[in-house]
Amino acid sequence: MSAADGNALDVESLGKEMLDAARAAVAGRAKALQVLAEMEIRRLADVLADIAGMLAKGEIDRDRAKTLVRLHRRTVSSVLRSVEGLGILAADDALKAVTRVAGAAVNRLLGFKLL
Amino acid sequence: MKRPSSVFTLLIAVVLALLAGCVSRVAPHDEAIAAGLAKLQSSHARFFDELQQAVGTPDAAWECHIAWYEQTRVEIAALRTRAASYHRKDDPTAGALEMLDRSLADLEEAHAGGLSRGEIPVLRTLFDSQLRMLIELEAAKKRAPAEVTP
Repeated sequence: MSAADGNALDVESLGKEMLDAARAAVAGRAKALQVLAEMEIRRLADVLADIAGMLAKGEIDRDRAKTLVRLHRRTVSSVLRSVEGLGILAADDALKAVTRVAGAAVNRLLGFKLL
Repeated sequence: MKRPSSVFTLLIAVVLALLAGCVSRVAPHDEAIAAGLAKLQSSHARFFDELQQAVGTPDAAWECHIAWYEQTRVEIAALRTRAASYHRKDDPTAGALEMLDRSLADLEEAHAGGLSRGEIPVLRTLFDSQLRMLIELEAAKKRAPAEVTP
């Protein structure tokens, strides 16, 4: 305990509870997000190889290859924006979980509902 | 008097609570956006199926698909307007939709110049990826934590 009275904040235990809450909130989303992002990026890498292959075989000319690469870049950008959104959602979940734990402890300490 | 570490922890807790109260950069789940994306996904699938069947014939020409491009442009514009209505700065959904819109313009430009059989699966994969991820993001907004499915 950080102070002698019964209402004081147990900093060590609160810190551990906050970390556990953050880990639990992020754990599921983070792993699934990693798998999803890797799968899409691998697929897009294959597409880039296909474009290079078509150019090498003369199936498309340089101008068309440029158009396809531009489209590929836009796709990577779009996919990464979605991945970013999923990451923000995971971070928001962690923040809410940590705040729930911290809020309960602070309210207990103060003796009224502040958070 | 509280020890400094206790006061510090209290401060961190208050700051976290204030941060949690801030508006997220990600707009909330929107059923109209989710439905619109699902509709776009099936419309794209049909479009690329037809193109794959028709490639090498006059039916594959851009002129035969002008109506699809116009309709798709309108649908994407409606989704972008809906996403922008949440007024979230740098919202990932709005950003991804902007890229989808630009991609459609690139696709139309390529199609107007004529598409070969080999290009169609490449183009299909690019649009599939964008739409799949947008749909995944919209679904994750309404899902409870730890339910994102690859």
